[in-house]
Amino acid sequence: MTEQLQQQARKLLDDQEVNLIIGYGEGSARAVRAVFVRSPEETEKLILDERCTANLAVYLNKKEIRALGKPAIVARPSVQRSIVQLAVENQLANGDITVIGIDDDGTLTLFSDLDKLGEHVLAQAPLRGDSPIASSGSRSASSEASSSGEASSSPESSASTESPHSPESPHSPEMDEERVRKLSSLPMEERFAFWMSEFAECLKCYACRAACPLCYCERCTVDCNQPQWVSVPAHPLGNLEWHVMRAMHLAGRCTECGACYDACPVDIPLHLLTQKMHDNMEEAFGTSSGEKKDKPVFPLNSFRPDDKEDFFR
Amino acid sequence: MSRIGIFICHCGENISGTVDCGRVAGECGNIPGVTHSVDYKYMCSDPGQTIIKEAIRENRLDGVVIGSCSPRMHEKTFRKACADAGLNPFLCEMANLREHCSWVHEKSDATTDKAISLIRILVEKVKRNQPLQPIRVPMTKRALVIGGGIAGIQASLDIANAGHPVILVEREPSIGGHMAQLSETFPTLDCSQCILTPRMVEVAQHPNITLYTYSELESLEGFVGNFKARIRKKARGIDESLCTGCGLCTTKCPTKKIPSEFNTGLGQRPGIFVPFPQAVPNIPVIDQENCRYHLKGKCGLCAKICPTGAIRFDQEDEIIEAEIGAVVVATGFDVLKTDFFPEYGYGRYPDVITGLQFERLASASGPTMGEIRRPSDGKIAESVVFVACAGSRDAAKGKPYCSKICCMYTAKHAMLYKHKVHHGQAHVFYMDIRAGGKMYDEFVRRAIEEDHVNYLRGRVSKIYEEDGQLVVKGADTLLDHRPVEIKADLVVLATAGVANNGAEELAQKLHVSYDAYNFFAEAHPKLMPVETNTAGIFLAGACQSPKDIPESVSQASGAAGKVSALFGQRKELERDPMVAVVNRTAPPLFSTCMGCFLCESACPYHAIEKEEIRGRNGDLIKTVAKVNEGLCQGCGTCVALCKSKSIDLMGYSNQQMYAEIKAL
Ligand SMILES: Cc1cc2nc3c(=O)[nH]c(=O)nc-3n(C[C@H](O)[C@H](O)[C@H](O)COP(=O)(O)OP(=O)(O)OC[C@H]3O[C@@H](n4cnc5c(N)ncnc54)[C@H](O)[C@@H]3O)c2cc1C
Ligand code: SF4
Ligand code: SF4
Repeated sequence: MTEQLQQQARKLLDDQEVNLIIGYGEGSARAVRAVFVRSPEETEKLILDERCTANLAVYLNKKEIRALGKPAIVARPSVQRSIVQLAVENQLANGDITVIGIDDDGTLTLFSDLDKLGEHVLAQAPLRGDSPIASSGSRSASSEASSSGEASSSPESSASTESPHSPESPHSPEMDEERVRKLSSLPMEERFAFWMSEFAECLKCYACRAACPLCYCERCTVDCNQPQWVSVPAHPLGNLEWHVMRAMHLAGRCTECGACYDACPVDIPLHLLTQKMHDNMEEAFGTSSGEKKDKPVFPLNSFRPDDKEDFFR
Repeated sequence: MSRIGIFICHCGENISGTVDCGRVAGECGNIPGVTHSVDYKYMCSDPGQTIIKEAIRENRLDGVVIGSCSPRMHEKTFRKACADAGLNPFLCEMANLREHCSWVHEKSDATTDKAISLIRILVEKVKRNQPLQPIRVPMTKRALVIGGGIAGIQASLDIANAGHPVILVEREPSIGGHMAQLSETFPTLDCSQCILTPRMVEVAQHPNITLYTYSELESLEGFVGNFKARIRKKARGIDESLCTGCGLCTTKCPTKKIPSEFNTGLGQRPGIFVPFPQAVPNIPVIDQENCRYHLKGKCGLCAKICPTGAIRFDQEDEIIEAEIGAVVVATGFDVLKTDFFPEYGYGRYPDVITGLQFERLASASGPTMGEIRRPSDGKIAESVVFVACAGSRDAAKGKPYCSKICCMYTAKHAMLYKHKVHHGQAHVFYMDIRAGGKMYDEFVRRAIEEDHVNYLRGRVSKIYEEDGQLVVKGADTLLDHRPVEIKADLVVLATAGVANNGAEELAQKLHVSYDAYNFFAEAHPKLMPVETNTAGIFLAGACQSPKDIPESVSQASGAAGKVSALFGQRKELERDPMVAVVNRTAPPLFSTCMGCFLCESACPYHAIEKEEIRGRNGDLIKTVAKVNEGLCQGCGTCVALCKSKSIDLMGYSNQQMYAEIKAL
């Protein structure tokens, strides 16, 4: 699989289709890190295995990366969803990037048209985070046009069952769902106490913000000091304000990749907040973020004169 | 240090009844930055305003807080007083000590303390207020009137007579609306057509009025002074420039038996027709759904007979675009049909008709030449039962409101009937008689006392047929609910007035509000009855609620007055500067806006546009949101939505709000 990715990447660079590949590479101590490949020779650095779960879409908005030219990005399903949402929010346009989509069954598909990517994402089962890639040895690269036809041979060998996430903070879609369900069933006071005790740990390092592809504001509201709506020091009230604000700003937008939780050095399960919000949105409006390209995809920002709430009129 | 003046109004005893105004003025004088603090019985009065003006001049005040009634009531008054004294009017704020404090609390120290807090937060706000200038936007001085009933006609004539061009758009082939269908009109019994048709002709001949009949509004974009309208002129099948209105075509058309809309189905018309002889314009329309040529591709008799060769079977709809400064909506109303009422036979009995149908029977130009002949067999009706409140004031039927005109026209109908059929019996079932209006009650009394119409107070529970005879079953509530049964030749239901077809759709096109019954909503039920909540769009006539002619005409003249006043301003339009603004910051950021444009679709007024920030060499730096200040209504939706807090509302900035909260 890695080989196939490397070939594809080399071809993109050789053909000067893109200037840069954003992908995963070997870090220290069996950790995986993001690599930015700018020449065909360097494509050897690219790897693809079950450890490759970080959401690379976060780099797409960084000025330093954009300055390097047009990128191609290795995109597991949750990265694909982030990209679609970024396109919905006018942060990416067709032609800005090439997406090297890697589905859970290991199928590799190239997308240069973000609308096509949107359709592709929509056609897949909604997911929370990524499942491990079926680690079959060889799978043919398919082009955009023929992808659906060729995509579905069954995984031949040992589908990895180990969790893709870092060992200190194991979580899986099923576990997350279960935790949200449990939390929601608690009385309000207990829920509040739970979150206050979790937030008490927060260092205000903003690693969650840095890891989130949708936290792309150049000036975050938390950094705004005229006026200072959210207080800076890491004390309970300020922490609460920060986390409530973060969750609210992601309501209806979060694509549930879980990168915020993975990034948190003190393991606050803050992704459960956005996840709950996502559920609420789906319940109320039947929409899911990161899935549709046609507007309005985000019910919280759409004004319609025929809204069912008549105070609008 | 600020120099702020505080002025506490007693509002007679409205505020001072529960709030110790003297203590408020005294304690507020100690707030840092306050240099002057007084109280007075009526701040809005002339001497009250003088106190404010003198204080501004003598103390060189740079901010004013007035503790009084609601800003809705007197903000304009006080801001003007400040402006007169040389202070920028937007440096004046009002604390609502009446609705927010004195009226809702008992007399106590705590109430006075709350009043002081309300003043204190505004002092902190005013310290951060910026002097603002009214926004000026250019203006097209042309009005669009939608709907050519009496209200639309009157509005068009008034605006045109004030010297401004008007485009009048009417959906039907002729203007005139419901009034053209009426026989005689209460309370004077003058003939409806006789008073209406001269005005219709005046519209057609007025040099300032462009009339588009058989046309509808396709879309309206833009904002007050700067609307762009697209009007669909439906294919009439006639070259209007050639048609002389001779009417030969309508006599030759072989399709003759189409129920006439104008005669409410009581008469028939051909496939090419003019709705009524006095129609304006007097140009026929080909009804494509019934025309033989359109259905079968053969016929064309009208084209053969037309002396000027004006028939155009292949004519297509035409879209007309126009720049418009203000809009008057006058699309009128409709009435429920008899099939709405299961208890009255679901429209099954031909001799149960609506009031509007009775108008056609009673009209000298109607299908019976004004004789009251019942539809089933053409027999002169010897006994007629009129049922008021058919559907109106009936929450179970979804129309809890009073249709307002029915009491009056029912009295008129009964009276007209008695004048025409002297020996006939006229009975009226009613709930209450609502005859408020000049000469109205006298009119109803005349029907009862002089024309001996039998008024029965009670509701009709059922109408049924027995041996070919209609029987009306009700109760007389003035006689101990005694059941009454009356045999009738004809039953006339005063069916509820309802919103016109397509009203909801039109409201959405215009972005104006409407109520639960799809009548268009005025901006304020008392003080702004002809305005809508969209600047530059006004209401006239029965599209706002059922109304009679005098009311429709007054409202139309009111709307026309508003339009003329708007157009009467200089070239440009002045607007309050309370609009949203997307921020600008120092390079390399230029603006904290990230161009997500989620605000774009959130804005109810379509005020958010895209703006490109370019460097000196013309390179695109970023695309950010921009608020069109002509369109923005200052609702603040975008401010609340923007995650990066890149939008501020002038006069209500984040900083001002924050300072207010902190001061609490
Ligand atoms: C049975 C009956 C008897 C009455 N008798 C009397 C009486 O004796 N005295 C009295 O004072 N009042 C009487 N009235 C009330 C009177 O009819 C109304 O007050 C009057 O017609 C209201 O005028 P209008 O212009 O607001 O509406 P309408 O007369 O309804 O005119 C509206 C016009 O707008 C047009 N239109 C609608 N939608 C659109 C659209 N989307 N685009 C373009 N054009 C559109 C319609 O075709 C119509 O021409 C009576 C009403 C009824 C039902
Ligand atoms: S103003 Fe705010 S909401 Fe609007 S485009 Fe800019 S960042 Fe997005
Ligand atoms: S304040 Fe309201 S009207 Fe003005 S731009 Fe923002 S959302 Fe639109």
